[in-house]
Amino acid sequence: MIELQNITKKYRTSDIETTALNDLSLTINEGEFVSIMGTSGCGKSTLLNIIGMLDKPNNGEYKFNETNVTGLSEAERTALRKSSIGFIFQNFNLIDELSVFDNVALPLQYLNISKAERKAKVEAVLEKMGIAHRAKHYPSQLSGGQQQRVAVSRAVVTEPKLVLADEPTGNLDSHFGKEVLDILCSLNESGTTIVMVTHSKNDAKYSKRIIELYDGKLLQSSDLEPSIL
Amino acid sequence: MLLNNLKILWKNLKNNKVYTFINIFGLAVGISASTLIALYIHDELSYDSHHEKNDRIYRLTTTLDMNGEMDVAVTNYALAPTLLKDYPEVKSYARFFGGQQENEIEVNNEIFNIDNLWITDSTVFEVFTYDMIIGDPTTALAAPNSIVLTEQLAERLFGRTDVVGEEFRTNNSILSVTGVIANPPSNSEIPINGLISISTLPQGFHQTFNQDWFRIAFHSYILTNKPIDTKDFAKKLDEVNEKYVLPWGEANGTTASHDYHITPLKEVHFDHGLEYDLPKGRMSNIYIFAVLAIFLLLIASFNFINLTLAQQSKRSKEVGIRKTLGATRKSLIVQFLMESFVITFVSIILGLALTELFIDQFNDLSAKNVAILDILEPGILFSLIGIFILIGGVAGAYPAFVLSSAHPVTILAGQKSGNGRVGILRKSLIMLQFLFSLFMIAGTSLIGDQMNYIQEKNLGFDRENLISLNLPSDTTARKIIAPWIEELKGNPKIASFSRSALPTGGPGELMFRVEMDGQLTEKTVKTTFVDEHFIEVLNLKMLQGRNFSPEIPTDAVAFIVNETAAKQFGWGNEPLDKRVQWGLLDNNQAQNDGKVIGLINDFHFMSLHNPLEPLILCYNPAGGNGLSIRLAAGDYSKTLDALESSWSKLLPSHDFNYSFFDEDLETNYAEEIQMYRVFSYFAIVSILLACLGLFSLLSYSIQSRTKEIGIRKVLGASTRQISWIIAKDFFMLLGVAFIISTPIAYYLWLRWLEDYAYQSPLNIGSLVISLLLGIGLSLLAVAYHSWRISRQNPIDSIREE
Repeated sequence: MIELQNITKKYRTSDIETTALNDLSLTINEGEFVSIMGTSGCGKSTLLNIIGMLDKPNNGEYKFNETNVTGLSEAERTALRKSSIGFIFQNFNLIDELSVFDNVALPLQYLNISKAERKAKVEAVLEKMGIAHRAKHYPSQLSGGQQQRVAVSRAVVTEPKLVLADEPTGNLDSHFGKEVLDILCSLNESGTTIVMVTHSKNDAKYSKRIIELYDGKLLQSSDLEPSIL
Repeated sequence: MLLNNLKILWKNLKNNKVYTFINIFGLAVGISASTLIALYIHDELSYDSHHEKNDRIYRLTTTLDMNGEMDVAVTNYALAPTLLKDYPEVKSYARFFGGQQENEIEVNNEIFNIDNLWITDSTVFEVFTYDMIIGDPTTALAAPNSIVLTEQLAERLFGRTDVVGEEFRTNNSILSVTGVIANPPSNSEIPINGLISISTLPQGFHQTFNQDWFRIAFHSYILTNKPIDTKDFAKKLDEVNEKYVLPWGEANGTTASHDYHITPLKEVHFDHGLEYDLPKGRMSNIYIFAVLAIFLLLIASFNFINLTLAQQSKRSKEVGIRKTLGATRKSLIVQFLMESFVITFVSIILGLALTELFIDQFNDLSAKNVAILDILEPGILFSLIGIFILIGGVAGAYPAFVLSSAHPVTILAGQKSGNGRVGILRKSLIMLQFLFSLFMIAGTSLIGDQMNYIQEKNLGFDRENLISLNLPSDTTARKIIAPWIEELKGNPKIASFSRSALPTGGPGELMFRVEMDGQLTEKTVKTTFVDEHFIEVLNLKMLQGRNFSPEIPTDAVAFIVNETAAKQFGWGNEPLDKRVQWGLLDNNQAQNDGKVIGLINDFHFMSLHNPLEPLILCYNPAGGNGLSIRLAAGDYSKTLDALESSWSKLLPSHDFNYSFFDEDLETNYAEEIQMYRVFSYFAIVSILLACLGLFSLLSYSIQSRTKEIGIRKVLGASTRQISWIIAKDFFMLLGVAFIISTPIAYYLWLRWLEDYAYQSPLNIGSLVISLLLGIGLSLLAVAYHSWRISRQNPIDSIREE
């Protein structure tokens, strides 16, 4: 599903050049649940952004579902992203001015899905996440765990093939964190590919494969035994 | 602490250079533009205020009824002296006569054409305040043939100002300079280049005018001992009418009657609508300009307040830290208010500097002569102080009183306080800015429509390629130039010419008797004396009958009338052979008694402020002082150069002073054209100010929604969708502003048009253009910001937050 070949990403300021990803190659197959780990600044988030087509590499080739993403325009990447990828962030990134319902409905709106269908899909996903009773609330009226459930709902409402989660439990206590990881596992079991950036070895254990980065390079890729779960 | 606060202010201003510039420069431009307009209004409202006794000086005018009323700005010769004789409250008087036409003055064999030389009473210096630099005001105009010159005219004629005792020739008489006065301010009701003693007029003139209450030609002013109630005094004018005028009218068999009116000098400048008056101001223009100044100031102030409020969220963290470190609420209030007042003060100073910088251009544009020091006039000075307090106070109040009251923990935890209220305030201010700007765009385009309509309306004659010039008044020069006029006949560059003056500004009037319902009825009718070429030169249409002919002796007392005359005199389609008289004598007798020989089409011989009126053309084959020439197609400048060259060879002492008739016609609308030009320029300034504010507010709006925009982009929103999210609030405000401003602009336009007898039809396109212009400019600002966002990585946006 994801094929990264010799990906390099450098950031330049006026006098410093930082290499975030250095000639990195990686393949992730459909249905995998992959955790990306590593120290701060090792390039985890950059890798996730490139996989999510939010950022472009300086060198290398990226194929998503056999489509070469590297040469696509901004609009083409946006179209591919919104139909195939869901995002979950550490700080939830909900829009404060929109209700829970509207936050979740937002990606459907950008896919030009009809209002009636939007309503049905949002209600279904909120029900599934156990927050249907909070549909009319605003993010500021919810707990952290509830906010992340909304964020997960928003990520999966379009039924994407891939969900990218950037430290999804980073702002949650262990109880809410476990709830979110359980949801991700459940999504993965139903066929969604998950790529999760995490600092937590405990969280990483929920995935099927762990990729470790160091200074922008792939340090190791190890499959986990299903028994750990 | 004060120094510390100033340092923080300076750093804040430096860190936000663009917003600092927009904030200070925007307010400065608004203050500068409104100050210039305030100076204009002050100038208009202070006409004749330099006369020390202006609260005791009154103008006398007449309503003349000769089978139709006519208000005129002049009176007869005897009214003012009669009032002095009969009413003790009248202390003195001054009459002005004959200053509106140009006079030829010959100094050292050079001819000057000078206007505004008024024949006046010797008591003029007792009534009005003129600063006599050389000469004695009590005796300067006592003797016949005396003239007092302004410094400017003395300089022009003699190259110096110490000219008392100098003599020069004008209109076949020799005048002696008896005094020099300082140039009167430009906002004087009666423009003066020189004052000639009234005793210069021949004795016969005095006798004739003094005896005839219906010879109306004098601009008359009286000075009273103390301010009077004009309503009470009007009764005394009625008494004069009954005591002198009515008996004289009955004794002389006239059916005409008079009414006299009195107006305080302070109100004369706006007392318009009278015939034979000097140029007047219009209160409607003052109101328009006052609204313009207020709008400009409000737009600039709203920008300032909006930007200050927009920055408040950036300052809330600073407030939280300061409060945590022990700052009191009072010290924060002082800090914020001080910052606001300092910026306002700097803007006002910069605004005044801009005013000084552009004052000459403004004077050229508005035909005024205002000076920056006029801001020291109490009205303007107090307004500036008021602006300082109001803008500084309002812009500083919100951060001072609301931000400073927030709990530091709340602020540092990142919770926003009071943003909803600020949002509503900011949106209201933006909506009002749009409203003012659209109002001005709509106003400019509607006024522009009327200006175009006036300039392009078919006036019933061909106004192109037509020049007019004045021939010398003295007979010797006239004889010398006669061959030059004869040569025009064979000149292929001249299509036609007439020894008649073109009726710029409207022809004169005469008392006629016209045949109505089989009887001769007295009527005052517009008239002009023309030769047989006049109709051809103006390209008028002969609808019935024939032109004047030098071959037919009876044409000396023949008349040609226009369609309106035929209609109003009840002649229908049969105006020919109707009887007309002028130079009226008793018993239906007259010096000139003839018949109508032709009917011409109506043409607008007066400005379009006035409806068409009856016109009678009288025949004068010998021609008058005016010459009208229609140039043949070709290089006009070469033709005119050739004409001037041959003229100068014959009459080197007389300038070849010609003017294009279409340009002369524009002088009828000089006031409107000036007003339109000033209005247009300031409307552009207001729109630019509003755009500046919109631009910076959009930028702030985007900044405060960075995270939201980033999230939307991650979720798949296109640049177009993001742009719409940013722009839709502004467009909604623009729509509301359009709905409110357009009907108001339309209503006020209709009121303004009431001054015109001929009005341009409503051009919906103009109003639509104003909306499109508003939307277009907003779109530009939105497009720029959208382009900026589209280049930003959404993840960076989310991280920034």
